[in-house]
Amino acid sequence: MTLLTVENLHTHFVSRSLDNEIRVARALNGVGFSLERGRILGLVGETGAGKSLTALSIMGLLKPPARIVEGRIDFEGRDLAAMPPDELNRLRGDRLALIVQNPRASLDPLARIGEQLARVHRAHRKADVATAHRRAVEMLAAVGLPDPERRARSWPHELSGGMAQRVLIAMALINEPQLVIADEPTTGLDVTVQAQILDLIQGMVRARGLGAIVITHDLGVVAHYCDDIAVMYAGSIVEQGATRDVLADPRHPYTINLVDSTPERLKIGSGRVFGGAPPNLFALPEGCHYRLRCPRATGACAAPPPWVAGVGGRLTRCHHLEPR
Amino acid sequence: MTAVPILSVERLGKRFPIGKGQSVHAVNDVSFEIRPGQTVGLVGESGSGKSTIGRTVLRLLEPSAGRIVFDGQDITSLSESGCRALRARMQMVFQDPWSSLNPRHSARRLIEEPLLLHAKLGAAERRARAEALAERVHLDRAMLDRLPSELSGGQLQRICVARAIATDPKLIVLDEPTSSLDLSVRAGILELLAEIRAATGAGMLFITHDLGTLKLISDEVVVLYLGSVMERAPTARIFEAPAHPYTQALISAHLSADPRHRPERIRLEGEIPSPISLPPGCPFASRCHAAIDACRAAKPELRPLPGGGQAACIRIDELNRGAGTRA
Amino acid sequence: MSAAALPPSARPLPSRPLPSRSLPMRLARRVVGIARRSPTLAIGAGIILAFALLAIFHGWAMPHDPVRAYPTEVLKPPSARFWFGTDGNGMDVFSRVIYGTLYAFGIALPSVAIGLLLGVPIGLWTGYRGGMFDETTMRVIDALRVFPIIILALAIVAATGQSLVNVIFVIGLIDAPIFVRVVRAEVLALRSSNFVEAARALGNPTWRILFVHLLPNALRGAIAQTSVRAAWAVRISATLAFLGVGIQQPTPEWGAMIRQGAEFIVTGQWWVAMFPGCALILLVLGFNMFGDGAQDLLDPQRKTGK
Repeated sequence: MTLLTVENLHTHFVSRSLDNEIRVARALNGVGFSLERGRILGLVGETGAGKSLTALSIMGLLKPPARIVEGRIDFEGRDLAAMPPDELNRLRGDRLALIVQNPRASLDPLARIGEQLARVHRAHRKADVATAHRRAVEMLAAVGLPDPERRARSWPHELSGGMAQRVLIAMALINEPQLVIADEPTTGLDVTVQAQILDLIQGMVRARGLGAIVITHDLGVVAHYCDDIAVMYAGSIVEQGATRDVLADPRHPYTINLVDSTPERLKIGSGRVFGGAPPNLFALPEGCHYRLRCPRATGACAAPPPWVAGVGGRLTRCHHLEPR
Repeated sequence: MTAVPILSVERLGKRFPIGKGQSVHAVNDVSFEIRPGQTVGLVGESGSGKSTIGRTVLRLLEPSAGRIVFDGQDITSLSESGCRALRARMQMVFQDPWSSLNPRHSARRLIEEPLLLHAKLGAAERRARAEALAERVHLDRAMLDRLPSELSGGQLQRICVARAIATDPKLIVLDEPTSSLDLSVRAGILELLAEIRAATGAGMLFITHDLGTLKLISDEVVVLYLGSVMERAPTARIFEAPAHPYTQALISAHLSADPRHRPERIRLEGEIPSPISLPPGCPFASRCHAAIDACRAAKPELRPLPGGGQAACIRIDELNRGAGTRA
Repeated sequence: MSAAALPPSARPLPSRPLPSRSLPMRLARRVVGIARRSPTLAIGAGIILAFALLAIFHGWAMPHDPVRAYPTEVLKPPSARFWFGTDGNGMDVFSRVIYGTLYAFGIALPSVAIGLLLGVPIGLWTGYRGGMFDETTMRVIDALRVFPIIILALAIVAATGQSLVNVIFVIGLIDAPIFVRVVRAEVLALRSSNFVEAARALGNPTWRILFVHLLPNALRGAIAQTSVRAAWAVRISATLAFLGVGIQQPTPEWGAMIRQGAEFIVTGQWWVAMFPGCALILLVLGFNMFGDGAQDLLDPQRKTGK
C-alpha cells in the first residue's frame, strides 16, 4: 500500500546577494518517488544532490529563503506541500517523524531523557504525566536501552553517541508515526554501533508496517538495509529501483560512477572514476544536469532526458539507454 | 622489505592530564614502524587514540612515554625549533580540508607556504614550483588564484596534498584524508595518494576509521582499541583471516556496498571502559565474547601469529585453531 | 535554512561577479545590496557620513566663527541669523555644534586607534600563549572592570592634567581591555582550529602563526567593536567635559556646551544645551547602529540569536 507519493517537487533558494542581485539556487528539480508501507527507501547522492532538502521539504521544515515552488507531496491522501503550517505541525511528531544526524545537539540539555520523550507524547496525545512517562520508559526499552527506568532519569550529556541516537529514535517513534525519515542516522557513529542503530530502524519498520526513508551517502548502508534506492544528482532522481538490481547493475552513468567509487569496486590506477566539483545549483546546465561530468554525454543531452524503464520496475533517466 | 624504517615508534604513550591527579590514557604502549614507500594504516573507532598517535609522531603533541625515531634520529624530546626544521621532512594532511586551510589565503599562497618556510627560493622560482605542484596534484591552474571558500572539497584536499609534498618529505601522516569527501572525490584523492607514493617513495601513515579504504591503500594495518594495539598485520592477512576478536567484530560490522556480501555479524555488548581508569587487563575484555577471567588480570602482550603479524590476545591460539582449518 | 546554515561541504560555491559591468555600477549595486541586507548598518553609515562631511567641510558650513562672541546677542533664541540661537557668551550655537563634530571625531578616532594598538597585540598574545601571562592579564583587566569607568576616567584625567591629548589617551587606555577581550576570545577559538594546527605542522614559526594566520582571522570581532567603542568615546569625552574635566569652555565641544547650557534650561533658554545634545545623541546612535549592523553582517548567526 502506498504511503507517500512525491511528484515533481521543486524547491528553490531565492536570495539576494550583497550585490543586490536576485539569485535562485535550484536545489530540487522535479523529485518524484513513492514509498510503500513496510519498506525502506534509501536516498543516496553526493553533496548538493538535495537529499536532506527532500526530507525537509516533505516535513515542511524549510526555512526562508528555501521554499517549495512546485509539486505535490501526497501522504495518506493529503497534499503536504499545500497544507497550512499549523496542520502540518500537528502531523509532525505524530504521523511524520524525522531522525536527524546529530543526536546530541537535538536533545534539550536541560531536561531529563524521560521528560523529553513524555513531552513529545503529550504534545500529540491526551495523556497524563504518569501515563506519558510509562510510555517513555516503554519506548526506551523498545529501542534496546538497558535499564530504561534509570535511563529515563539521565541527562543528555550522560549518553554516548549511540545511546543518544537510540533516544532520538525512541522520540521519533513514541507516537507511532506512519512515515519515518532518517537523515544520515549513523554518520559519526562507530561502525560497531552503526549496525545496531540500523537494525533497530529496520526492525521497527518491519514490525509496525511504517514507511521509512533513509538518507545516506554510504552505499553500504543502502545495500544492507534499504529495499529500494533512489539516486539523486543535482536535485533530481536519476535512477530508482530495487536496491539489489541497481547496485548489482547500475545503468545511469552517474550511478555507475558512484558504485565504481566504493572501496569494494574501486581499482586504484584504473582511472575509471570521475570526480568533480559539486553541481553549481545557481547555473545548472539545460537538459541532463549530469552532462558536464558525464563520459557519455553527447549533443542530445542538452534536452531533458527521458525515463527509461528497466527490469523489475527500475527507472533510469538517460538519453543513452534502451528499455528492457 | 628489509630497508631501514623511516619511522619507528616504540612503546609510545600519551596521557592528557585532566586535573585532580587523573589523566586520560589516550595512547598506551603503541609500537610500529614504517619503511620508505610503505603505507601503514591505523584503524580504530572514536577514542582509539589513532589521531593522537599521528599528532604525537609529528611532535605536534608531546609524547608521555616511549621513543620516536625518525630517519635515524631520536626525536622524542627534540626542542621546538628542532621540530620546526624537521617539518620539511615530515608532513601531515588533515581530515577536513574546509577548515585546515587559512580562509584568507589564495590557493597559490597556500601551496607556496611550505616552500617559503623551508626552501630558499626566489619569488619567481617559488611561483613556478607551486604551479608544478598544482599540476602534480591535478589542480587546474585557473583555481590557483581562488580562495578556499571558492573551491570544492576535492580541490581543497588536493591543495593540502600539494602542501604536504612540496618539500619532498620522507613521511606523510594522513589523518582521515578522505572521510569528509564524497565517494567519487574520495576515489580521486586515493588515486592521487597512490600516485604520489609511487613517485616519491615517501612512507605514509594512513589514519582512518574506514576499513574499506585501508584495504585499497595500505600495506600493513594496525588495529587500535582504547589506545592499545589489538592486532598488527599485513593488509591481506587482516582482511582474509582477522585473528583478534575485536578485529573480527570490526570487519564484520563493515557494511559492504555489495548487497550479496553479507558476513555473519558479531555483536558487541557491554560497556566501553573509561580511558581515565583503564582496567588492568585487556581493554577489550568487557565487550569480548571470548573473554575469560585471565583476560581481566593482566594486559596481554602482542604475540606473533602463524600467518604473519601479531595480536594482543592470550587466547589467540585456541580461538584461531578452528579458523585456521576453515581457511 | 540560509546558505550559512548548510554544512560547509553543501554550501553552493559562489560564482564570480560578471566582469562586464563597470566598477561604479558594481559598487552602487553592492551598496544597495548591503543596505537591503542590513538597514541598521546603512542608517548608521549615513549618519556617520553626514557628520564626517560636516567635520571636513566645517569651513563652508559654519555661518559664524564658533568662538566669536556677539556681546549684544547673548542668549538669543533661534532665528534666521542664528539658526540654533546663541549661548551665554553670545556665540552662535549652530556654528559651534558644527565645529564640535571636529572634536567628536578628533577624540573618538585616535582614542579608538590607541585602544586597538594596545589591545589587539595583547589579546593576540594572551590568547595564543595562555598560562601565567594570560591569567595575570585577565585578572588585571577584571580588576579594572570593577571600577566604575567614569570615576576611573575622572581620576586619571584629574591626575594627569586636563589637556585634549590626555583625554584621548585615557579613553584609549580604558578601551584597550575591551579589545584585549574580543581578540583573545577569537584567538582562543582559532588556536585549536585545524588551519592553525596545519600551519604548525607545516613548520611555521610562532610569529608567522600569530601575525599571518591568527591576526587577520581574529580581527573580525575587534573591527565590529570599533564603531561601538567610537560611540562610547564620543559619549565619555562629552561626559568628562560636562563634568568639567578635560575640555573647557569656550572650546566648542559638545559636552562643554551642554554643561554651559544646562544652567540656562531652568530659565527657559533650552536651545543652548538641546542642540549640541541632539548632535551628540545622533552621532552616538549612528556609531552604535553601524557597529551593530556590521556585527550582524560579519556574523549572520548572531542575528538569529538576538
